[in-house]
Amino acid sequence: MAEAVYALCAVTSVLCMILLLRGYLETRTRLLFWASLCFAGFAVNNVLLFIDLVLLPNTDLFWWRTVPALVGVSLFIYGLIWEAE
Amino acid sequence: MLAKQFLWGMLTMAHLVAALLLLRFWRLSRDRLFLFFAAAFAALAVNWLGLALIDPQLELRHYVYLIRFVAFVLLIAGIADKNRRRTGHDPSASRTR
Amino acid sequence: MLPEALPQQVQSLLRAYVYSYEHLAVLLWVQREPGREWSAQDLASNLQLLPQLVEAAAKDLAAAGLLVVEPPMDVPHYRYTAEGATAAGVITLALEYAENPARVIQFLNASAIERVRNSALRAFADAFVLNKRGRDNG
Repeated sequence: MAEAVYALCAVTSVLCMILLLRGYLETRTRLLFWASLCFAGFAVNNVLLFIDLVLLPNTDLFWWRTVPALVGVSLFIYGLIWEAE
Repeated sequence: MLAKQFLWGMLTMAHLVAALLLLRFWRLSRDRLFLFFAAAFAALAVNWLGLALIDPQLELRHYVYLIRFVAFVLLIAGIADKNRRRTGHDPSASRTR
Repeated sequence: MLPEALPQQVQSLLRAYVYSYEHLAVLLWVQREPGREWSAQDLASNLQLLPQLVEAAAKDLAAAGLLVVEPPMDVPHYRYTAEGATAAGVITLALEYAENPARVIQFLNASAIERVRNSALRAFADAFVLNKRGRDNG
């Protein structure tokens, strides 16, 4: 069950990242660029969570999976503040 | 351990800020997609808060990942809702276009 | 801010479909004779507006499903096709415009400014539309 949740989160993040990147390439709206980086961070977070907890339970990838999420959401906040007016 | 909690705390705050900004975008654009995204980011904030507060030894911790699941279901629901609205021509539903 | 606001139905119709004066003019013109087909050139000469702008407006309205494009002709012809709540909104809009055109135009200008300000938000929301072709063909 948990595996399915992590996999779903990873797939959703990648989907959002692709859609936002496609939107950025079409419209060149920078908000979409930052948002796609945010979801790239979430994708790394969720993929590594899956690897960490399901595939390699004895390793600790805490920093490798958590820092990308923080960097991602920080870039998104930057975009939301600077590029959305 | 403290460093981990600090990071989770930052993630909680950052997701809350993003949720509030998205809520504001919903108010400006009246597009429900932003409401779904705001709710998803708020749920992720709760997810990080739960990880920071709940002792890793506790079984309860597994339920935190259910919150993450809810967050991503909200994202999917928002995208599905956006695409479902596209097919109709109800002016109140497709105001952003 | 306006002394008496437009009906909610008209406001949402204008926000959703009417991006410019040309959109408004085309919509109000075609709804008077719903069965009839018009080329962009016909509309432009009747409305005394620039054909390029009229054509762009007609295309937008067709993409939004208010007009239908009749393909068998050499030049695209547009026919009014709105139904239900949207059609009722257009009738109310026509009455409002006949009664007080300035109020409608003022609202259009205000929402045009709002639209420019929100273009990044729209790009964000539109990025999540999976089938973009469906949008263009209406």
